[in-house]
Amino acid sequence: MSDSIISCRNLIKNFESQAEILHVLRGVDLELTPGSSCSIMGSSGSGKSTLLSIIGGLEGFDSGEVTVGSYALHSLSEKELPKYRSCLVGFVFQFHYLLKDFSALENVALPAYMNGVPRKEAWARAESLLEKVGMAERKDHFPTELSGGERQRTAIARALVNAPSVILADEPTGNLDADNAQAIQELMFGLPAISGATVILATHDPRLAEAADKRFFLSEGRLQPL
Amino acid sequence: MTFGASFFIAARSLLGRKRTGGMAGAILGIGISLVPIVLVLIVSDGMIEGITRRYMETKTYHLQVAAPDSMAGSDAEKGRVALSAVPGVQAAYIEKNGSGVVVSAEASNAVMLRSVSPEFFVDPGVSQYLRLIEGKARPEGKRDIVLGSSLASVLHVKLGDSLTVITPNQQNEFTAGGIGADFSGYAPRLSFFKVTGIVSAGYRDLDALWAFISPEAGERLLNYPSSYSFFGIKVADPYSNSLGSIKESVSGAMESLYPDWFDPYLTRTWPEVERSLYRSFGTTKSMLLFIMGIALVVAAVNLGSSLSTFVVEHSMDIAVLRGMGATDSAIRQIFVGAGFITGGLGTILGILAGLILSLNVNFLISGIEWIANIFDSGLAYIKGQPSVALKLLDPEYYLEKIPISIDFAQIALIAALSIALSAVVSLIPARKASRISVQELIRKS
Repeated sequence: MSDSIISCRNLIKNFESQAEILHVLRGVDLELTPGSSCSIMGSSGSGKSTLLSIIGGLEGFDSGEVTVGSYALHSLSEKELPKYRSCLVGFVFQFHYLLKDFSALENVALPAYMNGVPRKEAWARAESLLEKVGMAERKDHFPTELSGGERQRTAIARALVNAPSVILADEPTGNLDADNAQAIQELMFGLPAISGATVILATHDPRLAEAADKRFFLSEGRLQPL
Repeated sequence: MTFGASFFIAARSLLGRKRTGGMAGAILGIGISLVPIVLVLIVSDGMIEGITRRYMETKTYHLQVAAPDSMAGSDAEKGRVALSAVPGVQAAYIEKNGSGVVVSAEASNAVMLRSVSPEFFVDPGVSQYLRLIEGKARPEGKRDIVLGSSLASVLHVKLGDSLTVITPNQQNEFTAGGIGADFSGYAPRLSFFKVTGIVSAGYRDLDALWAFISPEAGERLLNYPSSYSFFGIKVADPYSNSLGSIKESVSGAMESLYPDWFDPYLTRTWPEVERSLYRSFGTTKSMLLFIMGIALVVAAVNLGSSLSTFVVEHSMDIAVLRGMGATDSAIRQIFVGAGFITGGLGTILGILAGLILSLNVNFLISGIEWIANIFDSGLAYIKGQPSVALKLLDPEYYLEKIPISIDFAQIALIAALSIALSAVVSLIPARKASRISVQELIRKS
C-alpha cells in the first residue's frame, strides 16, 4: 500500500437536489502505483468525471479517504488545495479549456509561471513541450486558430509543464476524429511515461482504454476491474 | 502566484486579441471623465494666477503698510527709502487712493483715484501687466489723468478729452443718502483733468476701476477721511514662504522709524489685502473640481460594471486558472490588476488629452468662435439681419487670453486618485471572480 501514489478507499459522493439525492460514487476503491496508467470506462453520468474531479482536488466528497502522493485529500483544507493542484496534478479535459486570449505557448507556460517558475524558464519549458507534442510550428497561434487535435495536444503539453506526478484526463479524445484520437493516445501514453507520471483516463473509447495498464468500468457507483 | 504572473494574465486578458468592447469603453470612460478635470484645473489655475498676478503687480502690491493720511511727502519718502533697504524687498512705493466720481461729457462713473510714486510705472511687474493703450502711462502734470481702458470706454472719452473729478472736501465727506438723510455736510470738490493716457491690465474689473493722477494732484485731492495712504512693497517671489518673514522685517523697520503710530497689524501681505477675492477664486475652483470629480466617480463605477461583465465573460478562463492551482487571492489579484490597468490606461489617455486641450485652449476657443461666427453670419445673411460677433470668453468679464498654468503635482495627484479609484471599484468583481466554482463551470460546459 505504501508504494501507491493514488489511493481511494470507500469513496462516497452524493449530489443533492431539491427532488432527490443522487448517489454517484457508492464506495470506490482504487490503488495506483507511480508511473502506471489506468482507464475508467462507463456510461454517461456514471461518475467518471466526478471521480477525476475528486482525485484532482476540484471537488469534495462525502466520505472515504483519498490520498495522492503525500496529500490526504480528506483532511486537506480549501486553502491547501490550490497548491496540491498546481504541484501534483495535470488536467486534460474533453474540451481543451485553453485560455482564448493567450497563444499556445503562453497557455502551456502559464501554469509554470503561476507556480513561481521564472518567466524565461517557464517559456523555455513550454517551448520544449510544444515541440514534443508536435506543436512547435503553431506555438504562437491562438486557440481559435488551432484545429481540435492541435488544441488537445496543446492542452496535454500544458498538463505536463509542471512535471506533475498525476495526470487526469477526462475524455481527451471525445471530441476528435479517429486520426487525431490516435495521435492523442500516443501522446497520452508516451509523454507521461517520459516524465514518470501516473495517468487516470476516463473515456468511452475502448481503444484508448485498452492502452492503459489497468482498466476499470464504473457502474452503480463502484469500480469494476475489466 | 507572483505579481508578475497576475499582471501578465490581467494585461493579456484585457489587451489580448479577444478583448471586449466593454473594457475599451471603460478605459474611454475614465479618460473622458479626466479631460474636463485636467482642463478645469489648468484653466482655472491659469485664470486665477493671471488675475492674481495682475492684482498683486498693479493694485495690491506684494505687501502693504498702511500709513496715516497726515504723513507729509518728505516723511513718506524717508519711509519708502527705509523699506527699500529691508532685506528681501525689491522696491517700495508710496500710494494714496480714494473714491471719487468721474464725469465726462456723456457719462459719469465711480472710480478709485490712485496717486502713485512715479517709479511705480517702471516697476517690472507693473510694466509686464499694465499695457499702455494710448498716450502716456504716467500722469505727470497736476491736471493729467490716466484711465483704465474699460473706464474710458464707459465714459466715452479719448486722449485729450476733459473730465471733471468729484471728490469730498477735506472735512466733509459723502454720507450715505436716503430719504431723510442729512446732507448738511455735503460739499464736493470739483477738479478738472485732461485724459493723457489710457492703460489696461487685461482684466475688466481692474480696467473699470482706475484713474491715475499725479502725486501732486493726489496731495491736493486725496486728503479726506476715507482716503487711504500706504507703502506698496514688491519682493522677488510673492508666492514664496519667505513673504511672512519679509513682512516681519518690514514691520520691524517701520516700528523703529515710526514708533508713534505704527502697529504690526498695519502690514498686510497680498492674500490678506484681497482675502475674500482669492478665497472666492479658490472656492469656485474647488466646486468645479468637485463637480468634475463626480464624473470620474461615475466613470469608475462604470469600470466596476464593465469588470463584472468581464468576469462573467471570462468565467471559464477563471475556472481553468483555478484548476491550474490559482488561489482565491491570486484570482482577486488578477482582477484588481485588470482594474488597475484599465484605470491606468484611461488615466494616461485622459491626462494626455486634457493636457493637449489645455495647452491649446486659446486656439480652441478662437476656433470655436470662428466656426460659430461663420454660422451666425450665414444665418444673419439669410435673415437679412446684421450679424453680431460672438465671443465665448468675453474680455469684459474674463482675461483676454487664458494663461496656461500646469501644476504637475496636482495632475499627478489626480492621476493617482483615478488609478486608485479604479483599483478600489474592481474589488467587488474581483471578489466575485474568486468565488467561481471550477467543477460547476466544467460540468455546465
